[in-house]
Amino acid sequence: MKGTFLTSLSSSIRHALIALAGLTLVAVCTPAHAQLQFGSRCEGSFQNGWAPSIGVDPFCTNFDAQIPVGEFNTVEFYYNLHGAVNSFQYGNSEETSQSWGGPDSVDFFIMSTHGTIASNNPNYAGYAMWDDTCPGSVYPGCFAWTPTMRLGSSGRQLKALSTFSCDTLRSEDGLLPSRWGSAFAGGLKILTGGSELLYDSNEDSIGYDYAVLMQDDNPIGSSWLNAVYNNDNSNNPGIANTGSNANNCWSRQGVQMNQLLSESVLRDSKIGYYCWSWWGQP
Amino acid sequence: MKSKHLSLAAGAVLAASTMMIGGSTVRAEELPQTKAQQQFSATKGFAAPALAELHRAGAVDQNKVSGALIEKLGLGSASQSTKHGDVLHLAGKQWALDVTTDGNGVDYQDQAVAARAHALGKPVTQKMSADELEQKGRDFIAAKLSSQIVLGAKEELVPVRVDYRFEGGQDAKTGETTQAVVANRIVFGRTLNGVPVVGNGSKVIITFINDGSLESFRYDWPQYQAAASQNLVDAGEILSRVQQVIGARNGVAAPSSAVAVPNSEGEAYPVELTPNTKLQALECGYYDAGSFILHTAQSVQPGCTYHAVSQDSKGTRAGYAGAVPAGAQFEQDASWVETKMLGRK
Repeated sequence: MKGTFLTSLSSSIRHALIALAGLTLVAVCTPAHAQLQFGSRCEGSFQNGWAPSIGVDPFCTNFDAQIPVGEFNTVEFYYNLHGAVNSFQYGNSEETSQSWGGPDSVDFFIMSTHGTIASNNPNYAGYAMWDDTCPGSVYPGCFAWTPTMRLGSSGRQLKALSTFSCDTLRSEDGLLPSRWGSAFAGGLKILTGGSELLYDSNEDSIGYDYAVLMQDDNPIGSSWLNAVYNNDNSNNPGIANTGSNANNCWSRQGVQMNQLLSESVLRDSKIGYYCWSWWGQP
Repeated sequence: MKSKHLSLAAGAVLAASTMMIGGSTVRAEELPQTKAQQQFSATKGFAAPALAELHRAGAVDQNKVSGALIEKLGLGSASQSTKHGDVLHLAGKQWALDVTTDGNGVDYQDQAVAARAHALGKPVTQKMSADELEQKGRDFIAAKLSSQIVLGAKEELVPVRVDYRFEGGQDAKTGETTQAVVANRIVFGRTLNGVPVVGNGSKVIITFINDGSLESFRYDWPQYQAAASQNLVDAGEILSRVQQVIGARNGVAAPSSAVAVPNSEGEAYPVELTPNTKLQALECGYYDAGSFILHTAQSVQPGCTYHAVSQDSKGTRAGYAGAVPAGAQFEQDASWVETKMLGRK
């Protein structure tokens, strides 16, 4: 009897715990209650003038100001890019640290700086750091190179990366998957940036418009394409993502901000297809 | 794949691109008349010695504008109505409509049409031609936007440029790559007495997918009221102002010698502004930044928009866009940064 009671009791408790666990899982997994963590890094001037200055601050500040923080979202940091190259390298502890501004320490990371393609290896896209020198880059200049990245597999597991930088999403040469394969292998869900030139504009409302469009339940990708193009019709915005196959890839390109946490993660061999879109000329 | 990429990175010292030096071009497909206007701007500036300052006028109630468009487009009722700052945002089943605070700017998106764009992708060579886009755009404006895109006396609607949305994909295992055009866009502008409005004001942007369906439109189309005239500076002074602004923005000291005005008989661009920075396009007219920006100005002064590209010795390139005032004397405008950079002339 005692044993039966205890068994029954423990069974009830077990069921209650299972139910509670289920509710907790529902709470954690339901997008409407999901909290996105944002981080931003913008750099407009460079050590000893190794690269020309650009006016990128409005991109970060306007974006951060328009993200509705509080119940569901938090903006964890807005840093410059001084000494930042380690925070983009997979395996470095800074990459998952919010104190160091690492992309994998948040869900959604935005950045603006110079972008480039390495002259001695077209399989490398790079983001300019403030520093005029660092290992892995030819002096003068320090770049965070995309093949050193694996985004989305550690720490907070980055889901979305948006960069207002020239050229880093160039696709015309067919090498976008080569440049970004390592970064995507970590599970990054959506990438937005510049397929060619993006113009630094004094009337920059891109960060604001991008945030507003996403909050209106537009896909992250089309929000980026429209916000950047509309600010200056000479801009060449681009987006890219992965899928298990072609159909899955195009479907996932429509991911919305409130779906970022619930969309499944694709890593390494699960990635069967890369797809990208951009505005410009053939 | 991961270990391969990481080992490559560990063993490599990468140099920023140098292959693009001297090869940078604005990847814009301006139409012939736009190119002619850009050529004239760089070599002559303006045709007339003076131009009237304008004021944006004709504010319209946001709700009236949205109501009229919803009816004209046959959208049915809106299920959502919110405000983003001063912009009215309406949404219904598969569509969204935004109206700026003065009622003169509208952005419309048909999400159902956008969702069909991918499946209707075509080879890039089959993109809509500029002529076809112009005709389709004019037809749409006449049929659906005739109450909003109203031309005053001696005003013209002119095509400015076309752009395309491309898609590409690559199979991760086979490496097979595909490319398609999925959307076709035309941008119209406005001329007043033959002088263009430059900047994001007085623009109509219309996007069609490959079956001809309208995916989106966006316009900024105020009425203008003429005010006092400004005497205009010549092309040399305009280029000098662009040079001064670019030097201040990119931190590179401008050369002591004045920028040379290109010969009107040859290709005007690129124009060397500062070391490693070249002007790719200049368009002079009435400068109107439009009503979609965060701080809209009511005053529309003579000015010239510029697009310049900087490439340093390591190949890092940066694009700079903006507008310089063109009046010999101009008004400082809090929302127009260059007027503050150049000071009162």
